[in-house]
Amino acid sequence: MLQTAIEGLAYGGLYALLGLGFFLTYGVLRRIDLAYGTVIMTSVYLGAMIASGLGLSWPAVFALTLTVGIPLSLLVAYIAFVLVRHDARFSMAATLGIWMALEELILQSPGRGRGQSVTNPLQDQSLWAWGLQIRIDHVLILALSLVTAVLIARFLAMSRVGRAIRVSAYDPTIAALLGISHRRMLVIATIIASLVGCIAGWSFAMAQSAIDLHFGMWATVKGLVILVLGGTQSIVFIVTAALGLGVAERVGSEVIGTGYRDLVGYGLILLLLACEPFLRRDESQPGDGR
Amino acid sequence: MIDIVAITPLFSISLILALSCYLVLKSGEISFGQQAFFGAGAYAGGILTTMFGWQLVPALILSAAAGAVSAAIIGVSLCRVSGFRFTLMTLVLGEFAKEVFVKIEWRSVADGRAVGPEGPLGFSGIDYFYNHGIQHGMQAAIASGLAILCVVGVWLYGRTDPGRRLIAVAGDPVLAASVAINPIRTRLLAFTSAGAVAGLGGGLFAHQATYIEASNFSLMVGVHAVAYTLLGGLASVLGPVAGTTLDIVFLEGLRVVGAYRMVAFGSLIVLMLILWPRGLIGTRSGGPP
Repeated sequence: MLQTAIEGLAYGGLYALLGLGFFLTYGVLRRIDLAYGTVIMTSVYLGAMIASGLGLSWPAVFALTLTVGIPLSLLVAYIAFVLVRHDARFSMAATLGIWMALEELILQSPGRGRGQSVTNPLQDQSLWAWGLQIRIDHVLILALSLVTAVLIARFLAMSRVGRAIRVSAYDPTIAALLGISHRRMLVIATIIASLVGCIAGWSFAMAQSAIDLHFGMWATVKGLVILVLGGTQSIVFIVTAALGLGVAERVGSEVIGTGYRDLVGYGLILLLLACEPFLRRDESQPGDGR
Repeated sequence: MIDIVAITPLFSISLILALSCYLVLKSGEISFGQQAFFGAGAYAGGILTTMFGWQLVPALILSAAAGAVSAAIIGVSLCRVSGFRFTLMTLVLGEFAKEVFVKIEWRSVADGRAVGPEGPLGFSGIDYFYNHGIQHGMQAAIASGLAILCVVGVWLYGRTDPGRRLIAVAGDPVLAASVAINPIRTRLLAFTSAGAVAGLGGGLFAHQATYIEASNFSLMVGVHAVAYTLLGGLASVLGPVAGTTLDIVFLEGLRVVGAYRMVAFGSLIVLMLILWPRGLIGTRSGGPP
């Protein structure tokens, strides 16, 4: 049981990274980017494909992922949120179109959508502590996500640029009056969100020793779920929710059997979401929160 | 050229699902979960004709009822939220429903052979059309007849009181409430109707495909249905018709772009949203829903 919980923590770390990406795009920028997971998947996929084609080792996969991922994220953000500017829901629909197109492009790529293997230098290396086997890569993923979360929280709260991003997201007009370039802030925040996503995608691929087409949708759904569980107010809540979900999923699947993990997981989230409007009495009129 | 008999059922089923999304979009919300009700209808219809030997018409009515009931249950909560939360909840609903479909296992013996859904192995042998000697031409006629029925039904819905109330609620819920329109009840009625339409489409799909499994009701199915409606526009019921025609007839039927159909379709949606955000069949005055 404890063993499973520790594995769950590693997954929770991944969820936290995905949740942070959505926190930056939705919580800070108020953008709903449904192509987020697919863009990450595409970047890692292409990174892995190019690296294996050229015979490069695992650090190159990360570098290639970033080389593909950051420009791609900026392009998607430009198309969906700058060119499509009529309505937030239209922008969301545009990200859907991008999602479909990217997935198909991966299917038509030389990799044909098959899983691309990613070498994991830490495969089968484990620590033994108190009779528990702990995979080193899992520990690293958890540490990486916690460090990233702390860095982003510090960045948004303390740094000049981080504060400027928040002002800019709060009200572009005020930002302009303060001499902040709204566009530049959006670009910087998009790059950070993309960077976090690439770290998540790459570490997931390393832990699984492979990346495939399914990761895209999975990442988007998990990221959104974390966003809902953790809320958009605080990074601490996001990380807590992510770690909680990771552990609950693993432990839950051990208790009730792997086959029921997703059923129970989605069922609980649905129940939580369904009960929520009845719990907040004062503001439950439809039409708000738009 | 396109084989009309072959493509009509696919077109009709896609259109029915798009009409279901259209009804939800009319209330000002985007649902990515209509495939859940589509699936509920498919399983209900398939079970009734194969395991209980029902006729097609009552089975399809029960399919629609299955869609409506499941939509009404989740709608009680869903119609109280809006915007991002609404969309997200439908997304989770869709994924949850898919997991439920994987678990449906109910076998019985009919006509000397085992029938019924087999959990992860899917639900095969829904061969009502084959057993009753209904040929491809007749199948196409049934499918297109049902699609026309749904188009007319949704059109009538928009023309009558509930439809007008729905437009008012979508425009401004507070204002609608101040003229004695109950926003929650209005939206719930629309959502339940959308569930019924999706369920009917699902019942048709099960009999057309003869084999269904959980992956037939994945998120992409719901996303496509929304995309058809957005592509076509929300101004009238012709919007979903236009959007479905564009994808099924031109991209799928004529294979204009070959294997890159989804790339073309995805790019088309983005291009439309940039250049022509009201869709192919747009309004002159009204903006987005």
